[in-house]
Amino acid sequence: MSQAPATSQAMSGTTACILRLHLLSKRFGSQQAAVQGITLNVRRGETIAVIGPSGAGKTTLFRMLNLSLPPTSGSIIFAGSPVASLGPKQLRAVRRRIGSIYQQHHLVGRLRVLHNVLSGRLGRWPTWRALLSLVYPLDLGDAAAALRAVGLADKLYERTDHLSGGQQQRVALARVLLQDADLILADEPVASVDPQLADEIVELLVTLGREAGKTLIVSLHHVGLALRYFSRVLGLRDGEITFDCRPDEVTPLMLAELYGGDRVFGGRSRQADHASAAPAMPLPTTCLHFQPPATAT
Amino acid sequence: MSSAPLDPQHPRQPLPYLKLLLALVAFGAAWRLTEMQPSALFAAEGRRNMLAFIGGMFPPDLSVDFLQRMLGPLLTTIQLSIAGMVLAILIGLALALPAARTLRFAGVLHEVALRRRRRWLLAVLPYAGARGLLNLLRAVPELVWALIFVRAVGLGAFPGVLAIGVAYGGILGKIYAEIIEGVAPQPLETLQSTGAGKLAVFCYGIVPQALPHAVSYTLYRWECAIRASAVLGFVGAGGIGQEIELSMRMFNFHEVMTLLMMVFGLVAITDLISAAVRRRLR
Amino acid sequence: MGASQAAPSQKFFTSNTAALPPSAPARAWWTWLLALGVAALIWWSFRGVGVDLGMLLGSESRRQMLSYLLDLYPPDLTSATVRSALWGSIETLAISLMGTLLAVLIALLMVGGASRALTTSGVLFTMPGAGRGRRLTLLGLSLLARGILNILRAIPELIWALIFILAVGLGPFAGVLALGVHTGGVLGKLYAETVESLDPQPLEALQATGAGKVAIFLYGMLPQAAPHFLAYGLYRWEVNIRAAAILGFVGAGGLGKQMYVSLSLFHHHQLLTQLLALFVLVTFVDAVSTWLRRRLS
Repeated sequence: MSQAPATSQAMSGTTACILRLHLLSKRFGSQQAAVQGITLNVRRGETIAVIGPSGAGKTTLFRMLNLSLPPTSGSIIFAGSPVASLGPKQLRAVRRRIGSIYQQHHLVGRLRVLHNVLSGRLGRWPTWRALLSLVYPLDLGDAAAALRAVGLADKLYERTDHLSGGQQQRVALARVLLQDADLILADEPVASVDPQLADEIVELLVTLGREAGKTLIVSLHHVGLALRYFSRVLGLRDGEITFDCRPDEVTPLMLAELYGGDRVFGGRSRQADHASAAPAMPLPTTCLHFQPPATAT
Repeated sequence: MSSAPLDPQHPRQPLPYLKLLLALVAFGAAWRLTEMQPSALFAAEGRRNMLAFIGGMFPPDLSVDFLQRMLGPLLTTIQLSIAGMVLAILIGLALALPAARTLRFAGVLHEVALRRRRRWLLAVLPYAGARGLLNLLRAVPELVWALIFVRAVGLGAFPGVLAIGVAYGGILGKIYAEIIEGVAPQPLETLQSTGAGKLAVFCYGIVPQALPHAVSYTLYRWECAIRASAVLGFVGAGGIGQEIELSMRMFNFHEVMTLLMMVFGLVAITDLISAAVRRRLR
Repeated sequence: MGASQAAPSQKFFTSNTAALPPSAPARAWWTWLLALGVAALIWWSFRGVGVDLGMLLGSESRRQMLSYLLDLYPPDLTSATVRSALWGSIETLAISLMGTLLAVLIALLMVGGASRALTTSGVLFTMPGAGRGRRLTLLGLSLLARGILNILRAIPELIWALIFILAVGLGPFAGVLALGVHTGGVLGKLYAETVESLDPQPLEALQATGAGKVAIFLYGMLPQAAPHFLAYGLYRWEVNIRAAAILGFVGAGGLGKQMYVSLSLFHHHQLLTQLLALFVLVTFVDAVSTWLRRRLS
């Protein structure tokens, strides 16, 4: 009986969307919009890769999704509640349910690994526990387990800035595990590590996420990784979605249009104008292309 | 002369000459105002006085009796500087927290919440107040503070402690606020995105980043406080300064020399201590 | 990593009692000793100066202080007081300006001797030909210059002022000399350090053209160092405006002298006017200096 609500939720088409974006836009000052009219539905348990050239608006989109940046217009609906109407307390509660992994530099280097991992608990701890933990670490067992899961069991007491870039990214992963969020966002999590390691970290992220039934949205520079590990791929360019489909549906032409041939010279190329004038495919507004993730494999 | 239009990169402007002229006029005015007369330095009488003074400083008075008598004032100077710094740190922290923009209304921690709540003004007012107070505390030199406090609470070390506490509290408060504003914002954003509260973000994100800078600067100020406490004594705030003033008034210049050497010694020791702490903090 | 149907978030935390994390490395004993020592030092200091919290916060001293501060109000805004405060401010400003200029002059004269880059090491001295005796002379010169700078710096402005008052009599000139000599010591050290940390490559390039030492100094070092020299000079000007006000107390004229008179004769309201003038003056100098330094960089 206790399982019933969860099951029915998963079945029904609309509430299964953990995250819904409606015409989301962000403009900084008077510049061209960084993100422009994005409409997107994300189902529970989906693993989504966002690819696109640098400057496409990926980071802006992520900062809006993890509620660090208010959108200029449009709405974000997380688990059924519109984010814009939340008070500070509710805002914290929603933030707790969204875990974030950034490109780099987002750990507190001078703290020990332990505290960076435990900071995943800050959304749940009352303030006095948070302060106490800095002196006398709480939930140590959980932190150690999370570090073990990412293969850093022996670094618990190391100072974070003494670790390598790849290790720091694993620490960020462990923190998100400890946060136990429903939705995990990762913004270019492997941009600053070497390819071999990038593969490992993305695989770890997707595997751990699947095991725990999390929803993942990961932006990647590396198309191969996106196609290999994710159930859905979004193309983002100039702040707009250019395609949204399963990895096996992505064609070289779509990628060529996404990355535009002559962007090397900067600015908006002729080709890009052409691409936005005649979009490769209609912008999806529902979970049209959704395929249940292969959790049983 | 007609080449000006040909060279758009370097339009002819009278301004450089104007500035030079202004600078010269200011210099001349300042020269007159300060009654500069370099020849006075070489006038026989002045030279004799100065040489008498400098000559009188040697040899420094190193008699055991004098040194023993000066031990008390020396310790008082150390105590005065430490007590003053503790007060300054408290005042500095109390004012830095409202005076740091990133804690009140700007930066990653407020992107979402404030825009919606429209409590912007409520956050800005304490900020403006704290900044104004910090400027006021900083603008008045510690010696003037000392004079005011001597009038207010009487002679002794107490006004010295208050003077250092208030004057350096203003300096520390400004620097602390700048350090807090200067920490890397990305870790704060991450912490906030885990749902952490304000205080938790402060303790996990801001404190670890800001602490080394704040400690290092505080130690540097301690060094200055020791130097200052030598001067504060002149107006009756106790310590070595008072002895220097006394010895000067009695024309015991060799004692002045000894006392000055004591101050250098103290400053050198402070310097060593802060260098050691800084190395550890890295 | 095999996928499993484990309940969300349970996966990593089931086995944490089985393998407890390694215990934290014990904090070094001397850390605690140091903390204890600092606490004891503070306690000793407050006892030594006879100040306790009761005095700082107690009603007696607070009343005393408050009544004194209230006595200051309102400022004396009669035109005579305001005019003399204005005149005093201008005089103080002039003293600080001339003192700082003199300091820059002294520092520039001394930097040649005090900087190791110019005397005993660095590019200029990797060249062969300098005999042993010559080197020793230069080393001696350098030590002498540094020693002089140390003495200039070590004696506070106030004491210098007393010395110069003996030499040239009461008046602003003594103040200028005192500021210039003390600040010259400070700037000399800063300038020497700046020269030592210059980029050596342009100097080597100059040397390769066969330029002599003076030419290298003028064309290689000075252009690189000048912005730093200026910035340091401006920074010291900010310090000196405060110091110039203090020097007035011992007879160097300006605002300080007026404040001394007001304090001695208990002219409270005039004192407040002069304090306000000092506040405006200091704020003005800070603003000008900050503006100039920003333009420099």
